[in-house]
Amino acid sequence: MSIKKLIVAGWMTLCMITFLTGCLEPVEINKLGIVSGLAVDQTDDGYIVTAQILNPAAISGKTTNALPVYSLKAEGTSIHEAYKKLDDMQSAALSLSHLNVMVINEAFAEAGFAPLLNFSLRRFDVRPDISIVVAKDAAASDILNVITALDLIPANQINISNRVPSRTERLTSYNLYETVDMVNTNTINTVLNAVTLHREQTQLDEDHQLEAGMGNQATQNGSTLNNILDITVPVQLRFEHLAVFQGDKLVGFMNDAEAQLYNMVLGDFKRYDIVTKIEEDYYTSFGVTKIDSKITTDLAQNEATLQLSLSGLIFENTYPIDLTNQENLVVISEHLKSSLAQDMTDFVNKVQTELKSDIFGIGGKAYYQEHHVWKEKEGYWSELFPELTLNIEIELEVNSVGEIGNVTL
Amino acid sequence: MDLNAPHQQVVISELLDVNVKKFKKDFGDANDFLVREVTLQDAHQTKAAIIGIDGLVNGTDAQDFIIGLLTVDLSIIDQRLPKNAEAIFDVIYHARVSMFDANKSNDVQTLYDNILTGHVIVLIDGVACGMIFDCKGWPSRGIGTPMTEKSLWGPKDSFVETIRLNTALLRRRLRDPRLRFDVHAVGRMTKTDVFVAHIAGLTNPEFVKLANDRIKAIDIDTITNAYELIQLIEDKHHSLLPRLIETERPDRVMKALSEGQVAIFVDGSPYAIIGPFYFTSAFSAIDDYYNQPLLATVKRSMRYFAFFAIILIPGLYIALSTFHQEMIPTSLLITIINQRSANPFSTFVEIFIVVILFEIIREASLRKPDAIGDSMTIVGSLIMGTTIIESGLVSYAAIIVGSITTISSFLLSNTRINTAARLYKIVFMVIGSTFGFYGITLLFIILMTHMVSLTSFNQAYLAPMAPFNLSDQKDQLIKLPVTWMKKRPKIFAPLDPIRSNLTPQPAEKKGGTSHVD
Repeated sequence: MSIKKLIVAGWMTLCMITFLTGCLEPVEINKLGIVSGLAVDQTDDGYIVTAQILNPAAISGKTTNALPVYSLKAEGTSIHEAYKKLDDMQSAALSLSHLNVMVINEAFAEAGFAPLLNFSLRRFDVRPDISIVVAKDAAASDILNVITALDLIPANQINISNRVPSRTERLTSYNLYETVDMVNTNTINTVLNAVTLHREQTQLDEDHQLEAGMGNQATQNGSTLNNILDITVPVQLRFEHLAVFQGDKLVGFMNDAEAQLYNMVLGDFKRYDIVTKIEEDYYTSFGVTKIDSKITTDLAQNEATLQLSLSGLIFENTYPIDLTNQENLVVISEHLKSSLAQDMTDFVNKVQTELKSDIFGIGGKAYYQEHHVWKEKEGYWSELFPELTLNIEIELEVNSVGEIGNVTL
Repeated sequence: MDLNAPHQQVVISELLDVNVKKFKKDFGDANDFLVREVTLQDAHQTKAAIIGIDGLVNGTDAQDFIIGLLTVDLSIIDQRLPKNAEAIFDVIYHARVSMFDANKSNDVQTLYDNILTGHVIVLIDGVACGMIFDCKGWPSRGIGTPMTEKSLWGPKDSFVETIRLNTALLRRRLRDPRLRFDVHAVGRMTKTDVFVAHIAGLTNPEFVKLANDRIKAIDIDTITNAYELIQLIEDKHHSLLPRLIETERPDRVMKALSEGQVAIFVDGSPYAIIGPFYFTSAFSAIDDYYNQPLLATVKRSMRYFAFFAIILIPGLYIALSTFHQEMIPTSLLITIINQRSANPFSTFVEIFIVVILFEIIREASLRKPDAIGDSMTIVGSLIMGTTIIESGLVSYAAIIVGSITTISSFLLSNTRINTAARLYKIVFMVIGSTFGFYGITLLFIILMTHMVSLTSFNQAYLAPMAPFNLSDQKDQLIKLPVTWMKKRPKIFAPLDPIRSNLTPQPAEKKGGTSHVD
């Protein structure tokens, strides 16, 4: 090839590259529809998928008469079909790569949410750092559509990993891959966050809404701006429960207090608070600053031992006792210990009898501690777990009584 | 006379008239060709001719020279002898003229060459030989400050267009009798002086031989600048990267010679060529040696970063925003989307516009007369910068990407590596817009393979990184204090590797000696 031909060919290549699209389907960045949250509701026929799509112009304040996000809903026999319908509804190319959170409704969770994991793992653009949340007593799409005051993007409010770590003692934070691992294994069972719609209903509110004729569905669900124009925030999202699974199927919920005990057993360091009543009239608040949790199994004897050793400081005390005396601290810590032991026993009983789900990962401990016994019993572990004798041993130490010694108030 | 013809020995005639006529004919009666015919009064009225080129000869020197010539004292010549041209020639050559650089020749071609290099030729009637005296004195620029290799702490002189001045600048710094200049004349028409400087007993003879051989092999009509010579003698590869480097700093040449490199001077060019040249040397500025070593290390790492920033950032940005949006943090992504929302072009076109625009501004600022500098700044930065964004032609992000690469390119003190990086940048942009990260990764591997395959004076271009050499790392990515570098770099294979014999100073006693008792 002559030099002249080479130059012509080079120029033509450059022009083609510049003005034609490449072979990898490039999407210009401003043609992108960024999905920040996805809600999947199971219906009788299939799934309703709701996508919360960002409106960049509104987020940056370029246009003031639009909400920062908009929500689209589509139904399909599979999640993918519904999602494709969403893609066709608007001009932007939907992208799940910035997805924060996926909400599933109770019906889907009870039937098993494995199809959602299947859908997200097969897609190349879903990142692992998303959290899956169960909508309790509400449709998943309603949860996703609640407009929140603090976060411009509502989905961020549901995403637990956005929270300050020390404030999550009643929550879990498993990402997509961890969830998949937990669903797949029988050594530990899945626990996901559950979110409820809390309606702050005052009499005045109801009257007002009736008068204004705005008592409609949207206002009820907090998906209009009215939700954040009212100082009381009529519709709020509450994380008060944890959803407990057996495999990929929902078996029940833990409440707030149980959620804290659950995290204690897992030994995650978070700030726990134990409040105990002493002699009916007094109480003590104890903040845990260090926690050490250990589970030893003895499957041959059908037994497991949970050892918890906690230390921390007293935040609040109304019990009239000399806290500067070392011996009296033992009295306090005995009170705290017995109270915690009682709560823990009740909690473990609930897990074993009601939920029947090995959420503590006792199977996982047995896998390492007594591998051969575990291999024998692995197959019927779900039947074995409720029959297991779980001993609870608690050690508790008061390290500090806080900034002051005694108060005579 | 055909100057392109192979050299034939043509001897000049004994008769002055014949010679003068021949000289005038060969120079075609050029108006700067001066012939002054004189008669030596006190030497039997012998006729003589002084020949030189106007402008190449120093006026005062020539004046003194002619006076000295005319006052040939007969008493020195034996009066009893008949008119003896040979004797007069010898008297003039040996006694009368006090020129430092004197020579004689009877070869026409040699005489012509000397006339053209600013020598003065004296022909005596009756002698078939010409005297050659050095009267050089052509206009020369004063020694100025370096333009491309500015230094804050180093010397402020730079080379000029006169090769003699340049060698003098070097000699002044390098007072070593072992300093050698191998002389070549390159170019059939220009006969440009090319000196290969090296230090006997230190510089590896292989490099010296290589340089001399390659220069000897050049057959070309003209050579005007150092870079023309570089193209003729550097290792034959198709590459944008410089395998030999030119410098305008005498201190840098001195340093290169003392480390075992070869320096090549070209007459008429204010640059000296240094070889062998390695890739890593492009990132060491001369100021590194006049600065605190730790600071120099930081500056060097910034230069390396700048090099990769120039070639990669525009390509990476295009790839990120067209293929890998998931890698951009969500809030930044939203900002970029907003900026691009009113933009009609693809990201590649957008970046291309910015890059070309910056190149235009850069080129314009190089060639602009000083007087219009301010108006160019206003048009270039203020008017163009703001309106180009407001018109929606390009987005802020594209301007940021363009600015980062342009500012980074100012960090690279070596202009050749800078040019190479800016050209590679375009290739990476094209690949980034068609194949994304995958293409950029592949192209980067190809670039690395290409760099590994390069040589400079037959030495591996990426030395001392590949092949790796631990002792040479002291002055590559990092710069260690001078006291730690006791040996010369091995990459230049010097015959004498020892650089310093520093004995550690005895530690002072704490508190020292007391002056009280």
